Amino acid sequence: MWNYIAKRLLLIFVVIFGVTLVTFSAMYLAPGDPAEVIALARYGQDLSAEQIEAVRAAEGLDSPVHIQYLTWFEHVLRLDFGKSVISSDDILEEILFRLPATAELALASLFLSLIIAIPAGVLSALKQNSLLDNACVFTSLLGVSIPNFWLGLFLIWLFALKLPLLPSYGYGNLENLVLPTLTLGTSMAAVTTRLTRSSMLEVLKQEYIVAARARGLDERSILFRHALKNALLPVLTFAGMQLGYLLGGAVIVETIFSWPGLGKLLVDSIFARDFALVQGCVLFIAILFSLSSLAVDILYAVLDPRIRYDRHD
Amino acid sequence: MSLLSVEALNVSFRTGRGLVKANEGIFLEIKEGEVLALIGETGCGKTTFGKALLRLLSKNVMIKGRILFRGRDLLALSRNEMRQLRGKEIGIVLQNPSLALNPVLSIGDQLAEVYRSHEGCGKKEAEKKAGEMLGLVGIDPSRKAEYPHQFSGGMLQRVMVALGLALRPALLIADEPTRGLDLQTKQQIADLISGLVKQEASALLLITHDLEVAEQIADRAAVMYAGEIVETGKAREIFSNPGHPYTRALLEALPENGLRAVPGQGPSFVNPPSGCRFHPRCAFGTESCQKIRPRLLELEGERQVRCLLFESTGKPEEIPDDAAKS
Repeated sequence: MWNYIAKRLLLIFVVIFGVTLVTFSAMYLAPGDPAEVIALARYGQDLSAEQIEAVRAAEGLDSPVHIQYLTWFEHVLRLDFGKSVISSDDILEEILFRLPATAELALASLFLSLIIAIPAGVLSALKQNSLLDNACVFTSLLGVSIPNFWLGLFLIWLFALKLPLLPSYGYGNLENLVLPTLTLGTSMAAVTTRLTRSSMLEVLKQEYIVAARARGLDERSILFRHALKNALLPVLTFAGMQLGYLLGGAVIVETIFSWPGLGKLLVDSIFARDFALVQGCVLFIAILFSLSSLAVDILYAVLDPRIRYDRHD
Repeated sequence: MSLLSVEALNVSFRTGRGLVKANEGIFLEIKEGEVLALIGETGCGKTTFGKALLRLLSKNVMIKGRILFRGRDLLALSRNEMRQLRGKEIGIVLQNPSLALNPVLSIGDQLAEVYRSHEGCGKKEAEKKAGEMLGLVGIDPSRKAEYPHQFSGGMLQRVMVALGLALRPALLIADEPTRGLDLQTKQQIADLISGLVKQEASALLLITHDLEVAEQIADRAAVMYAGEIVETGKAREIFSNPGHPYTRALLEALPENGLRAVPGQGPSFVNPPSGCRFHPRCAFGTESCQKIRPRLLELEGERQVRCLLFESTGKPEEIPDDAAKS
């Protein structure tokens, strides 16, 4: 097991190298001169060509692009993410400052989606083709089809404008968390419900369920011990991937609700052409995503005795 | 005295292709402590019969007739009564142990669960009993924390036998317990099952297409073709002196008898052949076999045969020997 984890961590290193290389190149190719952006932020509107060139030399922007990238990567290995070219704030500090907001929203949405999806999916499978099942299938299809930006705006219209019950934006109070969580949680629940339902239907067809019944076990232990434990394995994988995705910041939802998380930070830094900050965010998100998928794989091995990673390595 | 008595059992499934009549007009009896082998080709309805006895079939099934177990009609029991009976009074070893065991529960857990559920044992006691039961089927009790994928096919079959006999049921149904095993393991499993049912004085319904195993351990045998019983009798007599042409064909397909396969394929269950269901494949068929549906004839010595050839004479010897060779 430890062998496996060590290998996966090495692999994460490779992933991060690739992801940041791609972002770095994309930012380099995008229109706009980074030196000018920095100079604008430092000296204001009236810029001379000399000022821009001075910034270019000072920031190392006159060296070839691959040298720039390698220099940056070397700093990152020493946990130095650099400073924002616009505000001069330390990037790692800024990211860590934003992380709690994103984590709060991610965990709340995941929790909401699971407490809706697992019971709904299981009930739907147990009462296959009943009215309840059809209602579940229809609702989740609806949920999958509605885009988040629409749902977010709709909830703001309904709960902040028509029935002024909840704030439409902001961060800090529990009531601020409600609308963004509803937006993200319900749309994730829609997908997870469908997955839980189909996984449960598949498991209920298995011969070991018939065998459990043949031993005279009661329906409760057949459902919870024999069926659910198997049916939730794919759901768990999916939830873990969703968590990884959410920890990277739900860009659209954070933007709609002005939620001060990583997603919003990334979007703002892209619009501001804050190259160093974009790089830092992407790097951090890639690490979070890789670690959470590693966590899911480890958890999977704990729950499913058939999976022992070391044997196949 | 008869432990299980099946009367006029019809089992059919409603499917998109129409009504699949998997078992028709079955009368069968099993006495206390008796070993009855139900033999026939794969797909003839044997497994359906075994599962029907415990009402384990899918929801689209229709079961008619009576299944009397110690005088109680199993088809009339409530779901809860049926649940209490399963495992406790009738145990079953389902086909294919690698599919019939839950992959994410250890075998010790799956066994202990039976004791906890039926006998209300505490955790400790249930585990102790599970360990004893594993020992009884020849598995080292220290392996109880292992999972199904860690066992070989033969060992898994032993686990299945342990699960089936855990509560010392009066009847054990074993569905193809020797399927897919090598010769030596097959013999061990057959010996294990017949030894244990004798020891526990349980009756055994052995569902198998393996005639050698059936011959070794069965007291009586019933031959099934296309969902019907075509012959029953004492096992020794059936194997030494088969009556129904299908039973003869099955025996001729054995390696030591020349490995002559039964010609043709099993019939459709949606539109079964007219008359005798075996007539399209029968070496002795006459014109009337295509029209008249034979009944199960009572012959001497507890023998029953469903064949028109026996109608007039009532003696199995009347099948001309030269015809059998042609």
